[in-house]
Amino acid sequence: MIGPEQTLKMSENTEKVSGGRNLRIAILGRLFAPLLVLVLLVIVWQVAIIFFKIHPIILPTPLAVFQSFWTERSILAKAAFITGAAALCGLVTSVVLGAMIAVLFSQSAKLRAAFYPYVIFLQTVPIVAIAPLLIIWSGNNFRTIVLVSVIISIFPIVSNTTAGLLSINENLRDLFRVNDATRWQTLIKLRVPAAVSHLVLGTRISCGLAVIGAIVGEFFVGNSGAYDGLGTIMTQWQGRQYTSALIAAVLVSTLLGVLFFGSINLLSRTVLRRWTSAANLESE
Amino acid sequence: MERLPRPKEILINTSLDSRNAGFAIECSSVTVRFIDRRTFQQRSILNRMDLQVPAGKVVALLGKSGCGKSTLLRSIAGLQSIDEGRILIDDRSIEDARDSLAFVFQEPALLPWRTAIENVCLPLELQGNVNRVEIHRRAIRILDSVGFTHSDFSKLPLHLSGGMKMRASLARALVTEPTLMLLDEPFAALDDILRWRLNEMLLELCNAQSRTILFVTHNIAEAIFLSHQIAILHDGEIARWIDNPLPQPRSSNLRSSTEFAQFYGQISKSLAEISLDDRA
Repeated sequence: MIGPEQTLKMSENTEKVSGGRNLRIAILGRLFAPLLVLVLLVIVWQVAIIFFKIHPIILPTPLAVFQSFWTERSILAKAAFITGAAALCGLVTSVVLGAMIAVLFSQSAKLRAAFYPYVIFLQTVPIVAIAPLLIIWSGNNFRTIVLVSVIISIFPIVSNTTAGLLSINENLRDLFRVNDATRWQTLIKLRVPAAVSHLVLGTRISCGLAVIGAIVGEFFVGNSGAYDGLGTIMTQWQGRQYTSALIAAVLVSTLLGVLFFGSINLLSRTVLRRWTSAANLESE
Repeated sequence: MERLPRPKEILINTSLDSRNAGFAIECSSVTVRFIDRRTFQQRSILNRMDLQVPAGKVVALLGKSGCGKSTLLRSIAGLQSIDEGRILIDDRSIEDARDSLAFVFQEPALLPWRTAIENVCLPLELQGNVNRVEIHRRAIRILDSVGFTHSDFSKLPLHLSGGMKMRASLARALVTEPTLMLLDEPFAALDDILRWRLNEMLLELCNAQSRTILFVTHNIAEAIFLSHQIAILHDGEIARWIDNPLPQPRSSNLRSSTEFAQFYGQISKSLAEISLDDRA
């Protein structure tokens, strides 16, 4: 068990050394430790099945999972694509709608006082409880899944962006007042640019939730055949006790979440490059 | 308090030698009250304050913390609502005079997502009566005049030094060509050498155009070097109003002269006396 620690130390040391080759070693070093953990986990998994004589319906072998993944690859790919699309639509809707709500909230304290409790309500309502309702209202379709995804992912965006629009450095607010800026000018030239970093951070929190929302929504759509997302096929395979494929689906949905988070992170870093100093100024 | 000279009387004297051009700022019995957060009692931060600043003069406001200097400045800028009294700027109300005044904050207060030059353009953009090309032209001219480095024009504030940020902030205040400038401890965050350099620059800019300037400072030397008159505030009132005897125009040599040192002594003594009154 000294292995991972050593590699960790190695990667720390190599990071300090500059230069292309050393950087490559540093990146490899950084990848090496988690990969080692993965290999160890798979070995433990396999050994546990042999040692405890676990039935394949309870826990199939890693190889069986990989085989199921391969045989069901086209179904999984299609499902992942549909779920990904639903989550993306949900996230985009959340960002657009959430930003709009936040702007409205920033413009009126009364509006904020009246509606903000309901936004918190959205956050606390158990999505598992209202998903069946939404399916009754909106049907077994893509739109319903997007809706579930929006409901679960909009809160961090609204609350973060509202906070960003309202927490303006006092001097900057005074600067706009001294220059006789209109309400509209203050919104467009001061509040909105100042809130960009908050919106991006909210989106970063929400992107994982959007994927979870889509999959949870799909659990309730059922296997009518009208819709085939990751959540739908998971419920189907669960019914057939097709455990190996179910685990493969779980892994695929995790991967989808990671992909989502990774790309949003990458996007946000580009957007934030110009805006990071905004946060610095506020804390000054 | 009665022992202190009434500001009005002295003001009449100072206004006689001031070209008789009327007052750039005229405050009459301005009162601003605050509610103390601990005792829940009302406290006047400005107490029936009378202040008249002749046009084209530079006036320094001195006084210890909490004496109402900044509140006075913010009231004149219209950033602080007053409970009683009246403030006129060039015989107009504050709302009407907004386009002829500029405010410089203690911090540079630059928009972090805008480059230096974009920050300087902001006030003109907000006024909205000048086209983009003209705005840019004016911003460049004013940045030049405050000694802003050309290579820094398109840098974000994050990448600018403290001195450059303050220069940009000054340029932003000057770009609208205000007749009245209000400065709230503008150079307090800078080191001494930089402070002096910016003082000299400000003086040059003021001498060129006869601007009225009212500024708050804690630095006696700065107050002496820049001002025509010095007002010492105490407990929301003007406790002393002192004419600056040093000749104009001034250069950096002035600071090493005996007159400068003598006047410095006089001001520090006044400040000390006022604090003593407080204890008695």
